[in-house]
Amino acid sequence: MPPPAPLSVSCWPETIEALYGNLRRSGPILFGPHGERRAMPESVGEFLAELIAGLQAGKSVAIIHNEATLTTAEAAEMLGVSRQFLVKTLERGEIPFHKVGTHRRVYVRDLLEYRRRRDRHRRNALDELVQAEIAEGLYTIEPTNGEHR
Amino acid sequence: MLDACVLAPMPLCDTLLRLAEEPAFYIPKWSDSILSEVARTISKFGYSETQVARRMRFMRDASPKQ
Repeated sequence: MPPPAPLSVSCWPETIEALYGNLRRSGPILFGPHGERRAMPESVGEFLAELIAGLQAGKSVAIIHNEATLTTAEAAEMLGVSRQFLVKTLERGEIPFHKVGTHRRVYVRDLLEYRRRRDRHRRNALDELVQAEIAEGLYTIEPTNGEHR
Repeated sequence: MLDACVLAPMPLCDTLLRLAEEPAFYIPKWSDSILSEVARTISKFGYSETQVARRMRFMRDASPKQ
């Protein structure tokens, strides 16, 4: 009897590629306690993974709707600033707000937009400072005495 | 709270402030008196007056607002 023909190795990469392709296409799936499966969009899967990682790291996680409104105290906490500073920021017109009776309210989406803008501005400012200090030879300067090591 | 000894040397200051960028690892804090000490220290490092002023401008802008 002739020996069995060896498997054609050349087809393997394609097979593996196809397998991985199928795996990737299947997307994230939620398994219920009784074996029920529920497929979900990639973005929802990523969101859940991030949520679980946050909870496992012991962080508290808040899910807030974009249309939700915040009090000035809540908005200040989300930005990591004092309430007085937040109120000044509102009065300078940097974040849109409206009034409910005499109380100021801020939409979550406006607050997040302000925070993104602020963070981008800070990042650019730090980049510029670092570039300038590198160019002037300050960045790697060694302290001249031991006092501040 | 970040003290002057970690805010004065720029490689440390740079690294610590990058860690505070979103997604933030922590929220940095410092006071005006810490900033004055940073100014004194970096001028001892050999920073010119303009170079000290530029660093202070940046730090004030990035300051935690209390």
